[in-house]
Amino acid sequence: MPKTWDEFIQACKTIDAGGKYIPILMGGKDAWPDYPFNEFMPCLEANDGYLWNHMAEQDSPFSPDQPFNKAYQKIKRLYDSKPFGSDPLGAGFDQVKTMFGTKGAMIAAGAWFLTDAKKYATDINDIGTFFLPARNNPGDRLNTVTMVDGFFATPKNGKNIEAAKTFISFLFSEDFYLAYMKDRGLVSTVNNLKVELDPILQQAYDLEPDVNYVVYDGGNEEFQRIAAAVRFDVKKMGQDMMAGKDLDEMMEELNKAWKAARASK
Amino acid sequence: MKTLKFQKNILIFSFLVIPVILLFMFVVYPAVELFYNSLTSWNGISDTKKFIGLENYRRMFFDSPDVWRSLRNNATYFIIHLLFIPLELAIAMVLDSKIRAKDFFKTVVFLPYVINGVAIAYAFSFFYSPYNGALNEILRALGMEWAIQNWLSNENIVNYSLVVISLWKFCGFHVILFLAALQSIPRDILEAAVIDGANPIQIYFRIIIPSIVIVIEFLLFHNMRGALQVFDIPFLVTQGGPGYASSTFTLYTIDTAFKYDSFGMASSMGVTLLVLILVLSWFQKKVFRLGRNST
Repeated sequence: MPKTWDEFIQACKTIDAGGKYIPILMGGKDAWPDYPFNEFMPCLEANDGYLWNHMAEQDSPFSPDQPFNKAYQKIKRLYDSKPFGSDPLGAGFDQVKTMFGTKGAMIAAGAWFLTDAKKYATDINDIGTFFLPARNNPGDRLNTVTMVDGFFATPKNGKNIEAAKTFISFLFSEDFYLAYMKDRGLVSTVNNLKVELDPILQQAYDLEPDVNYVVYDGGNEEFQRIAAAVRFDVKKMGQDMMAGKDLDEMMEELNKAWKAARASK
Repeated sequence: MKTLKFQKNILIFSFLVIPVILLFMFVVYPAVELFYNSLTSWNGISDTKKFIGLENYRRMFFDSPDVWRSLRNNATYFIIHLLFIPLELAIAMVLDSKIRAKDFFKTVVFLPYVINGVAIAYAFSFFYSPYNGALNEILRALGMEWAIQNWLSNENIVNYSLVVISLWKFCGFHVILFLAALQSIPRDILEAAVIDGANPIQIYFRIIIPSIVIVIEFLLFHNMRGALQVFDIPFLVTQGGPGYASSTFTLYTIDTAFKYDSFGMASSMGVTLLVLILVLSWFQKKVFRLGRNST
């Protein structure tokens, strides 16, 4: 398995040279499938799940010395190597996922894709997983994004708050939690409760036992305000990068717009 | 004293009161709110709306190149649909003539209009797909590999690919409308023209066109309104992408409101769209009537 970003790019080139598989199935027409790269890599580069909030406090967070720009330069090197086939923006995720294991070698997705992966691959023993090797050196600790996936809430003025709390305790108890998390393919966040993962998913953890979890935060109110003002859309930026738009120009324009949006409060 | 006139007024009032209340609730009040919101920086969530005057309009007209790009894409839909109107009329005239299996052809022509838009979008996404897509396979089978393109990802082509979907969906509806109009022309007028020695071209321009002018005007308005409001096809097939290459004005407005929490700006776009439809329809009507008077 590739251990660094350069090894990952090289692996894609090797697969492409073989002529049998598209290295990575992207589904770029839908924009959202590029999220493992365009949305998550900046906070992996910064080792900071609250990166968006910190960017909201800066005037020029897209400058070359900032983690966002550094991450996107790495993404650009991957995209420039054309790992998504001849027309990455021509098909959506629903179309390309059917090619997993037959015409496509890899897909960048979360544990949620496992059911589809088993459905479309011709041989499930041929499927493996590894964490996105976004690090620069093999000796560096590998970061991976983790985030809250399901939310529970009860009205604060509700009549049954104690019952709701009891129910939540039940959800996180050994009686329910382990079976539920195994079914969802999710990792346990409760001490002393270890979820038995599907062997295919477990492989990624076995390959990288010391993986560092970067807990992803979607951005605070100030970030959302600036992002809305600037029309900041990282997934659309990914599409633009796949189409070959100039990255340095995009970063410069973003810096200008970001600074103006911060000043307009 | 309950006169007949008084009773008549009571009757009219009681029939009208509910529709008028509904009209105010769901049309007039939202329209007034739309105008007001367009003058604020409301994000759609907060309790307060900060009044900013015409700032939204200024930013939209002078500071948003993607808005103009979206409007250009709308113009593509409008022009191509406009060019197809004579063809639709020709098809309607064929269907109005004595041909076999007329009802079958009418059904086939109208069917795309009634098919669910999401299903159409999905089907055409696979039709245009670079991986075993039907269009590319047909071109290969015909020995026309040179014509294969990136139908949905090439910025110069994507809008035309989407307009084809729109033509496929709406041409049948226009044909059926024209057919209904043609069938309403009294046959004896046409027979009298033939007896008087009129040739097909004279019959077409002197009798048929003037008889169906109301339907033509309606279709021109329908085309204008549809082209300016087109949303479902680009939204479902490409989400306005790649980037904003296939974005339309309505799609951009929806994104502005719900993705970027700018209800104020989106409201100003809604008002602008309303004014555009009114102004362009009026202009189109003038040009059409001018053309009619000159012939």
